Amino acid sequence: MPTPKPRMREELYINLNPLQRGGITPLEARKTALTYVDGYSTCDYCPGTLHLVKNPPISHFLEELAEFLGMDHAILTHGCREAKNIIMHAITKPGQTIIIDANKHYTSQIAAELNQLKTIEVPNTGYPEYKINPESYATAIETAKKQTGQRPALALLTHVDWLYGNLVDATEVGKICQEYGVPFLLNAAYSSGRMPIDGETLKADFVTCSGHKSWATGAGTTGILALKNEWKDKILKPSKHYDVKPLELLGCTTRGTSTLTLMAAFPHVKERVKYWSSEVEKARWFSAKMEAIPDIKQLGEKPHNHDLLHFETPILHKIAQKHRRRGYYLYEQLRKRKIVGIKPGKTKSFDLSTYQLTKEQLSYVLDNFKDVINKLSPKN
Amino acid sequence: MTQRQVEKTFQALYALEDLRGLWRKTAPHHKLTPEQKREARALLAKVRKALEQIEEEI
Repeated sequence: MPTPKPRMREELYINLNPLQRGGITPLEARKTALTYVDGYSTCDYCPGTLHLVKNPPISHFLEELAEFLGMDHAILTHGCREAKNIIMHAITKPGQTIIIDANKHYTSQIAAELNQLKTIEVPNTGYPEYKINPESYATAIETAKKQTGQRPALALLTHVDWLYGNLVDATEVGKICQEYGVPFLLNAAYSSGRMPIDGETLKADFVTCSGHKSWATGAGTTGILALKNEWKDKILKPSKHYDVKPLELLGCTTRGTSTLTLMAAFPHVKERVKYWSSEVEKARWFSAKMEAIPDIKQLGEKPHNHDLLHFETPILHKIAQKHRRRGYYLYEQLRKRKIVGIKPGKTKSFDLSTYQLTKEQLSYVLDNFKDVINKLSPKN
Repeated sequence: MTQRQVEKTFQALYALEDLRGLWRKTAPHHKLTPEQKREARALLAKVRKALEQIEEEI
């Protein structure tokens, strides 16, 4: 097989893809990936299970991770979705009801389906902000109690959603869950690793995170499942046959490069969360500049509290109606200008992220949106 | 002397990764500041030195 063509997206372009911006690796992580690229590279000195490995210092890293998230324990999973599935599998029974929010990631619903759980959805406020009101969790819990005669087995909140980048007041949801005695799972895939998260303050029983989405980690996928002490016995219950192997983790999870890159990226992550407020300020600045272009409107909460922004762009869609490349013109025009990350074919509305881009880079993006509109808008 | 050669190979790879970091930092136009140009030259010198040391021992 010939040597693959290098992927040079981060070296040659400004990448606005909201799925990718928080997972762009620092130098240390890329160097680590180079050396630990082989299969089972975490396991040279394995004492029987991944989370107990001392060399490389995985067990110590997990302690630091739990502390960083304000939780009692942290374990690694193959992704945030796997962490949610492990929790549902470990603490619920088929047929039980759980609460989820309307802005959930699809994998929250799939994990519930896989575990044969019924779901009651907390609605969002609809167009244009699509906000989740924390107090709606109390209504949903009451509904579950009325329908089933029992408290729901779990309440899941998507801290920041993947489409509008709305940040929900998790403290308020945590308080409601605590009052009702419902275990609270915070899906922090788009928040932890970007902004400070303290599970203790948020009254979370579980915090799930995505290494490749928000913890500057690549070389495969990783997730973090952080939990409170009271759930340790259920989540880390050992197999009856192999007492060192946690059953829910099928013994071990991320046995290779992704674990090491997460560890290598951790100092960078610890540092970058300190500057979250400037990331929010930058996103608001960019949003205001985009909205200054006629016929562009930011959807989701305002003022916005996250780098993931969703824009409704009828002006760009109007161009697509007459352009020979239809909806693909925008992607192609931007790519020609060294900007990527807007999904090909999207012109009516799209999401992007400003995370860790400089104002200079974002000004360049703004200038090019304006340039595309000026050059391609129908003249009549 | 194989271990030294392998170490030098990693040294060269790491220096190239540092250079890649510079391309990332300055994307998309790569207009390097005088300091970044100095950094790039120093990295290339590091790579060359490592390669020479590997070659000497082959």
